[in-house]
Amino acid sequence: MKKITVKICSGTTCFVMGGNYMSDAAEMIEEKYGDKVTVIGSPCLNKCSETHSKAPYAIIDDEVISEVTPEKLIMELEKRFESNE
Amino acid sequence: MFIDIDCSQKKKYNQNAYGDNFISERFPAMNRLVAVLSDGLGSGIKANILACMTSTMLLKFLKENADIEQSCEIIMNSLPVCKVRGISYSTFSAIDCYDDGKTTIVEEGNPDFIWIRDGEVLKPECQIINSKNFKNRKMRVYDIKLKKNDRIIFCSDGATQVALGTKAYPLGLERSGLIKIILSKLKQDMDISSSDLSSYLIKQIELIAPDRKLLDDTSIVSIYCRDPREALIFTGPPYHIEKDNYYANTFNSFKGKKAISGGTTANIISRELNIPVKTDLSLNVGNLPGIYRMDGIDLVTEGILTLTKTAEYLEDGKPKDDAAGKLMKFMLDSDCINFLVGAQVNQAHYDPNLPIEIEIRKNVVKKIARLLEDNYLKKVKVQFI
Repeated sequence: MKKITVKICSGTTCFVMGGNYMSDAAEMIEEKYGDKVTVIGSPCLNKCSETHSKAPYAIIDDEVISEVTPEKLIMELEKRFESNE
Repeated sequence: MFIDIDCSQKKKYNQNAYGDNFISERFPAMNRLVAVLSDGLGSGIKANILACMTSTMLLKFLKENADIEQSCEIIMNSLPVCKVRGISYSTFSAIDCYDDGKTTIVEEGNPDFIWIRDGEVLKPECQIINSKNFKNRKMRVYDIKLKKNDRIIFCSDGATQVALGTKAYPLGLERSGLIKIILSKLKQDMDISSSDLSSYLIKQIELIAPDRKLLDDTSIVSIYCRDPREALIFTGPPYHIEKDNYYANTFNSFKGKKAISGGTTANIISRELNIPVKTDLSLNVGNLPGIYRMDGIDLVTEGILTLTKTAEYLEDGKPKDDAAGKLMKFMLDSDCINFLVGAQVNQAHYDPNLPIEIEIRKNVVKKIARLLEDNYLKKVKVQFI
């Protein structure tokens, strides 16, 4: 299976809307999926200024996940792994 | 040429207030710096009031180019009279200098200033002005021209009279003893900053004092003429997107230390200069995002939250080891701080649903600029783009 890439926004809006907890998500993902998933931070994914803001944002491969939490991110990743099985 | 100035002080043993007072003000538009060190009669609160009054009034007179003789008479007439000694008294050293080296120094009562060039102490000519109303009060006025790498040291008599009456220093350290310590330190570290030199000298004086108890308030003002340490902070996306490339190149070609404060700004520079941005989420500290990394750029942080916190740290002087603390250190390690402030606004920052109020970038930068100029004597230039 192709390695999944998760980008987490640490821009201002995302950070104050809960993105400050996303370093926990990075740790959780690493523990759960090891090298099947790469988590990278981004200074700004530039999503909050594009549409009505639903920060914080993350991107799994090419899909934008809004109002993301560590739990929501794990759930989304779980869905992808299940559908690939 | 940049005039690097700082003062270190120690109170007289067992006193709660400083009896010496140092103030200075920089006028970046005129490339001018004015500073005064005053030593009030006696010690404690009374001396503090006399010294503060003298230095504040003198600084004001000097910066307005008032006649110095008349100014000093006004100050002496204004000081409160000591109940014990029946006199009003404070001594001072004042300097008014420009970046081209043109300098006027006025002294009354304080030890003669020390002027060092190429490891030698210079002895400048002075004009002596006698007070019309106060006997035995003489001002020494020097008009000199400073050169790059020159150093000037002012001190209160607490420094030259330390250890007075001891076997090792029957007449105190004296000006000659202080010169020896300065020259030996400059031999070891010829580029030492004014801040480090003044605090080093104060420590040495404290070590000489019997039982390390200073019997008088002690101040050292150090001045160092050198090339300025320039820094550039780019924060916020430029108003006109088509100018991104121009400003990215302006940033890139800057000779000095460089910082970016802003996620979108970092992305713009990354795109235009083809430098990847690395973000380590584990570096988030408390309420602030961590630092990002870009090759060739000294510091990269988030924007407005970090700037707002930096302004707080500059105000209270108690930085933490987070991104704002690092940005504050970046600023304080420079003499001239240039800001390129992008005027484009991210509307999402002003969404009323955000849990905290996000400041307007322009206002935060203006506040930081004012704090750097007023509290840290930095030269600051702000350009809105």
